[in-house]
Amino acid sequence: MSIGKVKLKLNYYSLDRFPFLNTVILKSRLAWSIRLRWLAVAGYFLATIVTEVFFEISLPYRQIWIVLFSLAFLNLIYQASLWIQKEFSFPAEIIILHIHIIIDLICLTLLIHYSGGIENPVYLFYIFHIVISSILFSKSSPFIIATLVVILFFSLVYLEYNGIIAHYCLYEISIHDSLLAVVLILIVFFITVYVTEYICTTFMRIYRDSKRIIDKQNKQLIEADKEKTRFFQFASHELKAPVIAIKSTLDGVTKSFAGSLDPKILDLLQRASKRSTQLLTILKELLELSQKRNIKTIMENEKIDINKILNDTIRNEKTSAEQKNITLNLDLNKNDITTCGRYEDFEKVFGNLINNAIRYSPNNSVINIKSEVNNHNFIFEIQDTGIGIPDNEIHKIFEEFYRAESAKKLVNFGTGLGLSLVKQIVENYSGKISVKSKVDRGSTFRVTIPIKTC
Amino acid sequence: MATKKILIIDDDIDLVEAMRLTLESAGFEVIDAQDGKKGLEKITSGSPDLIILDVMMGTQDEGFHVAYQIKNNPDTSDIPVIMVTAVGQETGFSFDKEKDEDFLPVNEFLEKPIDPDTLIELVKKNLGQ
Repeated sequence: MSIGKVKLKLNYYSLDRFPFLNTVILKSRLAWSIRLRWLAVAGYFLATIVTEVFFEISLPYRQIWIVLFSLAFLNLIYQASLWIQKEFSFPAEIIILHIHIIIDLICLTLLIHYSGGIENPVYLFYIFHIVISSILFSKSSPFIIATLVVILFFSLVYLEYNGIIAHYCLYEISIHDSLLAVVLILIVFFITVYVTEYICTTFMRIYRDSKRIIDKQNKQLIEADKEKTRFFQFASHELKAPVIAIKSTLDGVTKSFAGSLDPKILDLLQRASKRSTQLLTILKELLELSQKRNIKTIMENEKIDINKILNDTIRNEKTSAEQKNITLNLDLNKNDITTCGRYEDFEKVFGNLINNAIRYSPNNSVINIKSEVNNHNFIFEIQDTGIGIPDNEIHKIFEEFYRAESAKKLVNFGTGLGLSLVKQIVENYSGKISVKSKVDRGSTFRVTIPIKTC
Repeated sequence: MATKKILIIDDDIDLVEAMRLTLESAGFEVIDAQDGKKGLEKITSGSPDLIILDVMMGTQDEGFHVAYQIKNNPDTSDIPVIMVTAVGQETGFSFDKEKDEDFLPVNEFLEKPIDPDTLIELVKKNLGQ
């Protein structure tokens, strides 16, 4: 065989032709077919007992049992080879399955022969093999199996009809020697076999083609996501690096020459440093928001305890609250609430909401923080007595860069990205965020996130 | 006490100068290298007491390769390494020194910019001062 042919032969068995199969799936199919064969052998054996004992039909039971025993013995060998050989190559598994089906067809033909030939409707069992081969194999294999079925059954009927081999009568009225009955059954059988093969292979071809397209698109999506991650990391580096250098230089100069600098210059340097910090914060939040919107599939999730994250975040925000003498009134679920996600995401949601509540609440006020689990949903609620959001602005607060006029007046700097980011994260977890607010009375933000397992 | 020598391996020369200013004002001697290869040469020739190492230089993970080489060489494995990066959590690029200890053979992992006081404090801590 030339190298070209060898390549062609190997390509035939390449996984591309069987996009829905792999060695693991095929192995499970092998195990499944072995179990099915045990059932078939046992069922047929019981049927022969019934026909002999209850119906007293005279059939060559010894031959039938020899065929059944041989099939059982072969099945034992298949079973043993599956136990011994843990790993088969993909082409080997395909060839093994072909051999199994061909041997099964020969055994079935022998059983039909010894059980009444054309008179026994058990020949309909051939259809199972055609359906199975159409599911397992692509292109020509199911057609070859169907043709083999037709050849085997037609040969059997021909040999019995012409008296070349014996015919074992199942009924008192024999139909095997009626030309009309034989021709009629064979025509119907012929049509049934090829139509079954055609329907199954056509359906499977459509399924395989769709699967191939979906797999290809899925691969492209994963690649695109990876590409986006690389882009965001690059953009993050390139956008932040100059600002980091500016801020580090300003801070270095301020720190190193603090004693010798004119207070006015020192103040200007510190202001410049503060503005570069603000720019860095905007860049970071903008990058994070874009990333959360664009990259969803390859984020690594892990088991996280939401209550622990909430407690950690509250601890981190306590200092800001204490500076304004704000009381954080906690009503938290005491149990561990495990879900699937990223620590940073939940920290960002809680941190932003708590931080906003503190920033926009008056001194000496109270902020109520509540968490609970209801119907497999984690619910977080934060209620402040701050400036509140006017009705005509409330629908805009989750938009990028939007800051309510009253918020701008009260707190000079804010990126206007925090709540957009919170909303995006919550939505990425299939959750919801809502807000109720009254000017000068305060706002209540409520986050509902479904609890998932990893 | 002899002056401790700090090697900064970072391709951003302005950032190196800013850190140099901070560290020299705190009494440290600073040497620098602009890429991983030169950095490894400087480790041999300059015998630093501590290394500040950037992650993303020529390639996105050059700093990690340099860190592995430092920690896998018995002559340099004891030198404390402070790893710094401009690529932060916002891109999903996050590490935890405790959690990723096997993966990250460094003493500290920080996101830039580093506040001068924090930088001095960390350098002193890792030098056992």
